[in-house]
Amino acid sequence: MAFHALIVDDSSAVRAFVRASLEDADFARVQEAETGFEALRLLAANAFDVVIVDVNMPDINGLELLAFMKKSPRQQGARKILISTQVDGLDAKRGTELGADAFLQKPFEVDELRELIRGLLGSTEGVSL
Amino acid sequence: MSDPRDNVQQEFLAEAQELVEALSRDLLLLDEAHHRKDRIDPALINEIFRSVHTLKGIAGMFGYKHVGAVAHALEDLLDDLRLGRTSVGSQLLDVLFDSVERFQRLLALEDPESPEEEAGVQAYLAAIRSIGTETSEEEGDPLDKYAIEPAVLSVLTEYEEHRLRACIRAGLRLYRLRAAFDLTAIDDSIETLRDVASNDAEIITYLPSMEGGNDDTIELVVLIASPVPEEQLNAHFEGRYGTIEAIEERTHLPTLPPRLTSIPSAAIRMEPQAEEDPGQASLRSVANSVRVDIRKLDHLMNVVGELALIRSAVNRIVDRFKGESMHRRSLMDLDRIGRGFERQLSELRSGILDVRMVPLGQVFDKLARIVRQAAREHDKQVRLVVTGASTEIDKLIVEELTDPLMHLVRNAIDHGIESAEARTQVAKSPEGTVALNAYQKGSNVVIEVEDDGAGMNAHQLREAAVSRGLLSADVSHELTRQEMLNLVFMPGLSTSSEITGLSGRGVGMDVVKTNILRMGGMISIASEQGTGTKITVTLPITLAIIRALIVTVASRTFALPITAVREAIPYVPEDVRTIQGREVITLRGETLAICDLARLFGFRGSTSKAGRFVVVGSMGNRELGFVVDDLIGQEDVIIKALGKSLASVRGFAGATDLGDQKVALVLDAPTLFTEYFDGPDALRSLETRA
Amino acid sequence: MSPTVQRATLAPHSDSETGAVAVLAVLAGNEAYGFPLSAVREILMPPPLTEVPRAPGHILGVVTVRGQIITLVDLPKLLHLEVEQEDPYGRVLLIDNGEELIGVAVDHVIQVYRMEPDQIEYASAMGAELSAFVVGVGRVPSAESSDGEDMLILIDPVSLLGE
Repeated sequence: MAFHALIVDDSSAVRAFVRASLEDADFARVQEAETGFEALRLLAANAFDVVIVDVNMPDINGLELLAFMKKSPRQQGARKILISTQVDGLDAKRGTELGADAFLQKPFEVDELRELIRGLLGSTEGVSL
Repeated sequence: MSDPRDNVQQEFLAEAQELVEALSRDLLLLDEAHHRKDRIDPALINEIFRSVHTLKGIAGMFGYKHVGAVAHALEDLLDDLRLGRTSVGSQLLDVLFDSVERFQRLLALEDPESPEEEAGVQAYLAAIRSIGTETSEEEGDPLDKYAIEPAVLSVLTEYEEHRLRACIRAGLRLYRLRAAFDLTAIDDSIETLRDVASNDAEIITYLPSMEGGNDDTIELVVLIASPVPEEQLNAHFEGRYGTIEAIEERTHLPTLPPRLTSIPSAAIRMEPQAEEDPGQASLRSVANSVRVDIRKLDHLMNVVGELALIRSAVNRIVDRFKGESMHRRSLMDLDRIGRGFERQLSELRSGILDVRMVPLGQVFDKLARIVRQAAREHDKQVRLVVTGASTEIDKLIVEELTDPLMHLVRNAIDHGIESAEARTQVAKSPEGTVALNAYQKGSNVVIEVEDDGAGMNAHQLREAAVSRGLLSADVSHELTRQEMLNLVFMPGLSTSSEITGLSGRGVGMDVVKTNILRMGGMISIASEQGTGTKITVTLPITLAIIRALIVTVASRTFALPITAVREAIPYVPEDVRTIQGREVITLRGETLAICDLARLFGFRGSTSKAGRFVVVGSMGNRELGFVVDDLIGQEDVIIKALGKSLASVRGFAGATDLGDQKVALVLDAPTLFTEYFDGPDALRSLETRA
Repeated sequence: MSPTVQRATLAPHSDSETGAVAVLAVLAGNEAYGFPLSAVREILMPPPLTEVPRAPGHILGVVTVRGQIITLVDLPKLLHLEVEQEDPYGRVLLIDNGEELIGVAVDHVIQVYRMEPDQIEYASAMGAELSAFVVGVGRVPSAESSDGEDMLILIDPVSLLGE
């Protein structure tokens, strides 16, 4: 199962963790964005199958990116996963209305992430495999 | 399937370390603002929250249970703080400051889940929880006052919403700025926007909009709060960005005057910082920096060495065509290109050296924490003044430097600065000053640790040295005052705690000196009784520690970088043959050229005596055996550059101090290889013909 | 106690009001030399010398002074002056040339003189050969006879930079 994923998180350890989790298990091509701005740049130029976004980032937050993807023609096929922690639980709720397909609460496990993505990508026809 | 966490463990530790350092720096800024009773920048508190928040998230993922637990409790506390449910006070600051050391210890644990830490962590968590929250009464939701689109409100995080409310409550007006940004340069543009705004506006958030954008640009709606009227704000942003429109208020209430004129308006940031402010400077440097493993830089340096070898291989081919007139033009072109290549190569080399440089601010931040801590312990008032935090020095030196400097600063406060009462009695300001000054001087960096405390008593130092039998009474009377002060660095003297009390300085000064000397530095002391003490540390800007094989040639000692050495074998004179005027031996069926270093360097003496060795060097795909008299062993050595007057001498990368005033020259393997295989004039001959 | 980088020099226009400069006189080979005292950082007993193969003839080698590698210069050879017999040097001066410390091997230190400008004949009035290293020649009362004069070759510390 090959897919194209984007991880947006300002923590390099989280990005490395997600990348390693996905690249190890599948044939995923994973791109990373450290800031919302970097994410906007990548979202404007690529169609992703999965976008994993941390809700709490400076400047452009995860919710704003979700709202953007909802309107962006390029990202209509993308499955959106919002990462949050207990403390920003309220923010995660808002994500539902903005089109998040799934939620991950930090800290999460490798298998949790993999299962989640398998479930999301299995449930749709639109993913290029 | 392997757990990907193993591979990214290093990434975690590096980021965690960085987060704790950022936390420590921000706490100092917070402490300072609190101390000066300044308005506390909400962005600063949010930064502190974010560091802890990120740390908590990653600690959990990488199995650092205790770090996660501490970060979690702090995160709750800081969330209350940034959302205005509690405020900055000394108890809260103490708890926060404690966290820095605690995190560092917990991150350094062999077993991150060690049960031994359990009790300490629990006690600390209780201390965090003991800080209560305040419930403030709020009349109505200030957000109701403005006609903000629900679409905008729905994408705000809880924190952004809180800031929005706080700004409205402080009587600020809300504005909307619509502007298109070039996607490739958006970070810079936003940075500029932030700078422009920072004077009289707070940016609440940036909302990407789908309208008016295309593949290369994106339109952002920027939500801004500011006390400044619309026209004035517009004039500010005029031309650079789109226009600003005020968000309408729902009802026509008379415009509220700012409620409390004595408190600076929420949109005005802390006063402009002097350029030397270490916190600000390092914050910026963190934001624009990447982390590099120093081994990667060493690797790059080796690549540069390889490139130099390739360059000489090309020269060799060029030489083959020398004298054939039909290639004259091409040879001249090649020559020109080759010299360009060499210039760029040396640029690259100095660029890589430059990357090793880090600002001293990194250490100074740690020292600022020590100052605060020591001052609290002794109940003294101490002001820290820092200059030159941006002075750069080799990363390896910075790491080695932290301990000695910490020691000096601690000494200055423990034994230098007097109590407030004692200071008042001698007509000094009750607040003592510790100054950290750094500046570059030639190829050295000078760091001064200066205090305006009681100074040292030179005569008491001398008497102590005599009574301890470190000095004869006769000799002691010939000492100058400076020599008496220097006694503080004597091992037998400086470890004595009672001397410390009366001399005003002492514990471990000999260790400090030893450490500084080991880095190739110097330390000196100046002190006036009643006025203060200044310790000056001078260090080379860069040092490179390498592992080297120490060998002797004709009774002289040399160091060969181990990276260039493949193995060492006994030298058997009978096995040496001569092929085309070069001496060779056979090693495992392969022909190996050998070069007698004694002969190469023109040392007189027997070269045929037994018990010698061949050190097999390898550079790129070439090998060369260096014949030496004896192998002393491997050592980590610090390479120091030879002086300018020796810059033209080829074959040595520098020199190293082996202790006991013994110096060994460090052989420059790439140059020796080039010289041996391509002749010493291979490079020069082309240059002179150009 | 301010961080100023001093470039020591023996320029014609000196800092004090009268223009007088303090000069450290030393003997090396069979000549007396003068260094501006402001450029002399230390006078040492000779540390163990490490010779540097392939170095120019006027360089004796390198020594380490408190961990710092210092190049040791042979003054008469630097100035291409003939020396009758080569004695082992008795002292090393550490000279700050404005950029680094250079060691200068000398036989012994004579004394410090305060020299007025009129005691100095500047190099511009001398042959061009020496002017790269030498500021001029200073005349001081002779150490041997009461009415005679001794000559000091005044060295410009900045010239000890190397090539």
